[in-house]
Amino acid sequence: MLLKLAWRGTLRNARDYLIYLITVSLSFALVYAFNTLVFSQEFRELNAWSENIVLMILLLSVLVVLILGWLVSYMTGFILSKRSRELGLYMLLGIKRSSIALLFLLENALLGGLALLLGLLIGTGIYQVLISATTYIFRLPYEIVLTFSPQALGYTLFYILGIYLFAALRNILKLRRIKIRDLLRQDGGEAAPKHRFRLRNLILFLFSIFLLIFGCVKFRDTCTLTNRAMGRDLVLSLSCLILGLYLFYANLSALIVRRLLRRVSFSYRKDRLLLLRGLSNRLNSMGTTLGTLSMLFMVILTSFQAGLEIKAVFDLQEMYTSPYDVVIYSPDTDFSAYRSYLEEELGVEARYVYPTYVSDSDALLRYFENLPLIRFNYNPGDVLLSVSDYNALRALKGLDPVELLPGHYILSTTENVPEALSDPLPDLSLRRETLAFQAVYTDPVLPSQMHVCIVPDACAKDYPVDYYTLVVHTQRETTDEDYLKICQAAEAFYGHDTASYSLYYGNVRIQGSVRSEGQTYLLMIVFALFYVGLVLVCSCAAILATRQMSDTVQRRYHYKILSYLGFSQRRVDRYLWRQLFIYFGVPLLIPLPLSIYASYCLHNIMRPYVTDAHVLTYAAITIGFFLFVYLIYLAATYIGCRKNIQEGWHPLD
Amino acid sequence: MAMLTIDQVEKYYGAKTALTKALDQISFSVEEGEFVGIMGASGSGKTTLLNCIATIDTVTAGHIYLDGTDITALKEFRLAGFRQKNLGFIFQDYNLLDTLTIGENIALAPLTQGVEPSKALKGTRHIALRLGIEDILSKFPYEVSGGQRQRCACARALIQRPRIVLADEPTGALDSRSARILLENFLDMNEHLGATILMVTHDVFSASYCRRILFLRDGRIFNELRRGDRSRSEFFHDILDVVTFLGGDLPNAP
Repeated sequence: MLLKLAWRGTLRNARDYLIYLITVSLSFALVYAFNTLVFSQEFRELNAWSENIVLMILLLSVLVVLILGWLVSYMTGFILSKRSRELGLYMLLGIKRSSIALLFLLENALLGGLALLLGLLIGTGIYQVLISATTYIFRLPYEIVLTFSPQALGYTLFYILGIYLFAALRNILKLRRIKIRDLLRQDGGEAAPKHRFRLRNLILFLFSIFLLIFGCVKFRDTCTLTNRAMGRDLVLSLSCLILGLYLFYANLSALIVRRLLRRVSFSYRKDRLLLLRGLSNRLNSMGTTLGTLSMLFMVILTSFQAGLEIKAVFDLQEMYTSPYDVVIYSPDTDFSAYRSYLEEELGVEARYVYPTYVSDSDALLRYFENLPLIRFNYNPGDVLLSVSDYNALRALKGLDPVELLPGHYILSTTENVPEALSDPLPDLSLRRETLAFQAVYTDPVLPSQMHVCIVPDACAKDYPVDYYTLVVHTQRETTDEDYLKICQAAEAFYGHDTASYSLYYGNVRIQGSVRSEGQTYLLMIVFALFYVGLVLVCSCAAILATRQMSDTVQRRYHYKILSYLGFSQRRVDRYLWRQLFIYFGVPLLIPLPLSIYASYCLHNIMRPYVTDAHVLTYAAITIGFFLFVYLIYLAATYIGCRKNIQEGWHPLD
Repeated sequence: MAMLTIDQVEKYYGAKTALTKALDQISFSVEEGEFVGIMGASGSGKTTLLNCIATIDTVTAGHIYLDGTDITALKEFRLAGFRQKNLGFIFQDYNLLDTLTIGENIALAPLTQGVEPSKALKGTRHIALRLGIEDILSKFPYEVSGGQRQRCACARALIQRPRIVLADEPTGALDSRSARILLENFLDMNEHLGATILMVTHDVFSASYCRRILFLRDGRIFNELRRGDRSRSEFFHDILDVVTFLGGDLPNAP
């Protein structure tokens, strides 16, 4: 009998909370798909860095499980409160409390099982997408193979069991304490509205605005390269922002009542009265939840934008760190240790060796000290390169030579630097003559050099050579394995001399290795954002959607009254749409602008590496992706709510 | 000419094999300013009749005329506007919006019709004064008694001076004192504001406030009682006799 009741309850829950079921299934699918990826042989053998991704995914899975634990716990608690009257009736009929707890446990287990089954099916599909994305990024061949991983299934089951046991334990404890009278009295709906205006709420609201502004200012201070108390400022700013968000949503209704509803000429027009009162009621009943949701939204949006920015850093690194297939630094012109590997294994298409000089002038060093750029030159003086070497390197990259005017110098640097230059660049006082600034070039010609002065050959040769650089264009495309092999070859050439060991490894740049590292980071960022971000957005949107749909069922009569008062079906639909738009929009009210602001602040730290041009693009991509997922939930909620209202439209109600 | 005419109205539910005749060729009319009650046991078709007049439900056959307009022939998109202009509703369970204050609930009716906020506010105060609820306008429904909530529903139904007020068991959820106050309000609205009221009830005490009672049984009009010059007490006993004959509910003595 208990099983029959549980099965019926499960079917009803699956129907009533379809959006929740789909969200949980999708999340389980992601957990299963990522775990399958982690345990697949192809992925583990991808490159030297794939162990990092495996570790990251396992850590992210723990985070996802915590998020899902929160969602499932919240939703089972919500379902329990919705069904309290029914459970109270069972108690009244003499069914033991333990049996009722078991019934509820069974229902949840069945619902979880259903979600797991769906999750495994969808997860198998998602795995194919993930592995194809991975092979695409690493430019590997890809073929569809139906994969089943017992280890991944084991992990997924372990996670799900943990999630449901935690939620079940919480609810069983709740059920054990509750009395029949309380269960029968509860209808699971929103509490009676308490929109009384209290001065205390308005003061707290204003305080929340102060906290948010203060938190923003502190966050900006945190994100400056010169800040010596970064840790303290970060803790302070985040505390202010989190507290500010909670207080904002807990007391926002006070502002609505005070500023909007009291202005009859405003609130009594169109459907504002209904919308504002509804919103005020919603804020009163779930202000804390909205605070949590908005905080999570802010975290997702900021991390997405920061993630894209970090990706840009790696792109830049790949472009400037190793613009040639092989780059080797040496204190002299003897590169014979690497020759055999270069010629036999890689094949030399073109090569060039050039010296770099350090001058006794520090004019540029001092100039750059005052700019928000990281100091890359740790020499006592400005770094020089002769214009003939520079043009030879440009020719190697297929670029036209530059024409250096007599008595001038050119600055070669990265593409983010010119926008940071405000004052005119200083003159360069060299032994032979003083050179005036001519132009800035940002073509990726010089490996690992941030600010190099291109000077006439004679001026450069007045100074001692700091080190020599060998750049090579190889016949075969390099891979990350070449890095290790070429270093080992050099090591073998000299014998195992530990003193020069670090020299071989630290002075070699292989483009294939740098690219592979970049691809790995790209994959890590994409996976992390896709995995955690999607689960988080879906979980938050599912909570909003379920609350709203359940509220529509409970307040079906609201819409019926509006129909009696002369609302046409179209007008009711429009009112419902606006209502949902506001309910879904309010939790984004602060996170959207705040995340863009936070990204701008974080960009301050990244500024030495990346240009300002893409910050808004990253924000647009992030917000676009987020809103896309969010709008799907909004549309599904609208369709669900409309159906709920129309089902309740029967004239004999 | 009658204000409301019900002409040979029929309403069937279900399939051919299990057909239920909720209304079976009902005809009657209501004059302007009348206070008419409809009585009958559960399942007799009272609420179905009210829903058909309210344009919430459609008739299977027959016609309903309000001021000469056949409302059964109105197109779907005109119905909302028709209800807005001509009908006022009062329900057993008040059906107030719990998120709005009493005053806002009353003002909602004119506001949905696009009346200026200041006018709606003035109208609300006026009708609230008339019904004795002017002190609770800023309170929420959960903060006031059932009787006060029902008077708020009354005010909402009357504020726009509809052609006819349709009341479905308005005293069903009230204690006897609140029911009496509400019915006195109905009488006042009918006699002094000239409101036409059609009230569905199975309570004899409530029915005794009407000027005319129609008795329904199995979807047909079984009997009709007019109060005429009789006192309310005498009318109450006459109604009771019919109810007893019908085997209906026990009365609530006046």
